Amino acid sequence: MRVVLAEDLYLLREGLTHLLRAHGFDVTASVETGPDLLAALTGGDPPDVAIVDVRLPPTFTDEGLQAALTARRARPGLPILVLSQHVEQLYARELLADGTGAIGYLLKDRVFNADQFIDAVRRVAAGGTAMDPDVIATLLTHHDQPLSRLTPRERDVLGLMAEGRSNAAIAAQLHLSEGAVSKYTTSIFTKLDLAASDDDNRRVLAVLAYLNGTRY
Amino acid sequence: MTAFRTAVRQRMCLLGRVIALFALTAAELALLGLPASAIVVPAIWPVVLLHGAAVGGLLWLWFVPASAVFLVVSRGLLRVHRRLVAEWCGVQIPDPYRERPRLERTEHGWYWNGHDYNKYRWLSRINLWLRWRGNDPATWRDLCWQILGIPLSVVVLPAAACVYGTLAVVRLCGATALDPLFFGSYVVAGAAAGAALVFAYVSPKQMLSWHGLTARWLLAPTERSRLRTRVARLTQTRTDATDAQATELRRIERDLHDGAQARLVALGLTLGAIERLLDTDPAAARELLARSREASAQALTELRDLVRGIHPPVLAERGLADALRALALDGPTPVQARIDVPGRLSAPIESAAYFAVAELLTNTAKHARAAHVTLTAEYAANVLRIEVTDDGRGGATDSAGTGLRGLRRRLGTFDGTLALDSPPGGPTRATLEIPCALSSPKTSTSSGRD
Repeated sequence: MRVVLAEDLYLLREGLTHLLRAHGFDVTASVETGPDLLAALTGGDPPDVAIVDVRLPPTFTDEGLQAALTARRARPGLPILVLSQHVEQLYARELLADGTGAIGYLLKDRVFNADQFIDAVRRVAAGGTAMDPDVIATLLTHHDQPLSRLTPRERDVLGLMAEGRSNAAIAAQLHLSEGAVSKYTTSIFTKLDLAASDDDNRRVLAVLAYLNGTRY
Repeated sequence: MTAFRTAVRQRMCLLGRVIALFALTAAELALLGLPASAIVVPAIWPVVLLHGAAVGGLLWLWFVPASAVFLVVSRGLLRVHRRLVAEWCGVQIPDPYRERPRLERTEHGWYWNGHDYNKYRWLSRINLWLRWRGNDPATWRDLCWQILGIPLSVVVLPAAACVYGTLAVVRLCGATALDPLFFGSYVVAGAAAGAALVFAYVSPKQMLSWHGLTARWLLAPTERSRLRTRVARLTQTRTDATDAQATELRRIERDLHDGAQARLVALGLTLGAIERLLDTDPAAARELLARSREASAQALTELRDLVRGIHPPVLAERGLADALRALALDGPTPVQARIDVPGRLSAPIESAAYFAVAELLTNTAKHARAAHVTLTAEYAANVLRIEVTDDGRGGATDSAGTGLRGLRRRLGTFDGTLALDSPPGGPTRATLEIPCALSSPKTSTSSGRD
């Protein structure tokens, strides 16, 4: 699987390259600046997935995020995993806005857990979603009537579902059987009045849209 | 016909204002009668000598409260006058008065009023008050206005005085033949007053603006006193700013010292232990490694929170408009954001505005029990204006905590203001205004959902 990596800190860039290579990824380009990233993403040979730091030279603002958004406008559904030292609801929304999935948005700390990080990269490359637990936690703390009807267990499941985990992964994390998880998800979808779907990605997007949408 | 009627009604309304302002000016003049009556006191001394000290005491008893009432009432009346002039004549006249100095108590229990020490509080206060009033040039300018206001306001009266003066000179010169004319001058004076009324009716607007201009001449602060007030305020806000900066640096130092720094020391120790255990007890080493990974993650979280408190990354990356949008998304209460700031402001102002809004939203979440919060930000005429409104229970005051006062102090550094309107039962509206200039055109994108 071919990966483009955009990170301006040398140590982190090397660390990530090693980590990805060790897990069988092929790092085709590792770039340092926003313009280079945009060229690598929109050039003739697009990667299977891009891992992008939000803050890049030359402006050291949200160069990486802007490049990612521009590239996805040019190539809808291009899988991109955005890494950052901090997560913002605002950025998560912008990344999810086109509704095509294949998007990840994680804190840089999540690299510490290599297995989960590689799992997230694979999920995004396969067209899925990987949202940072911090983003989801903020969404779940909002005062919201329908959400308060969920049991604590259902809220746990909803949180993991919103992060982009599959039923199997949720079952493993919460020490439940897959059957139990699918029962919880059905109940959640009924309580929140959402159309159930077997497709993991569509399900995640529906949940995220719901959590975002209830803000207004 | 109706158009004519409305025109007449409007004119009568304006005329009413002219008359009301003149009446007020006349009342201010009449107030002078209170201290002026004191002149009667020495005039009556011979009577006192004849009738005993009791009567004299009574007269002094009259003089002191009369003067005090004069001083207090005239300032109040002139405040009303300034407000009316601003509203009716369209001439803004700021209050020229100096702030009243505070009475300080020394450690020996004496009172210091800025000039001398006094054992008694009331005596020191009276002394302080009299000095404060007496040394303020505005007091004397007020007095000038009270004397000159009427003649200055009614342009016709000086003219009438001229006519009188001329006639008096003519009479002194012995031109008795003109006597009937002198008598006739009463008619002239009456005619002048009548002319004033007619003029006021024909062009009440001119009358009002003339009054406004003369009032501003004497009632507005002089350039000197304006500068004096400004210097005092700048000194105060500079002290506040340096204090706040020092406090902030100390907080950051403490957070780093007790947080990330301590964690890194612990991490170093654990790594040393792992190095020793690696050959002898690999299982224990692995456990320690897992724990040190957790410790480093925790250090990162703490650093992240600290960074947010110093300068939020979203503010650095996107500027105020998007930072406010991000803020609106983060709180537990739904916040509807309408942000219209078309570019970047200077960094210190963006930061001050961001933290002010963050504090207001936190207050709302903590105290207001609101279901909906609205956040609007707009930039117009070189003023950044931000409003936070909630439908909570209201009753927020400055005295409730140090939060709002601190906020006001921090905004003061930028000549910013915070207005709070929070009747018990709600709703609460906090409006902050900061004069500033845009530095660059908009570079950020918006989420498009606001």
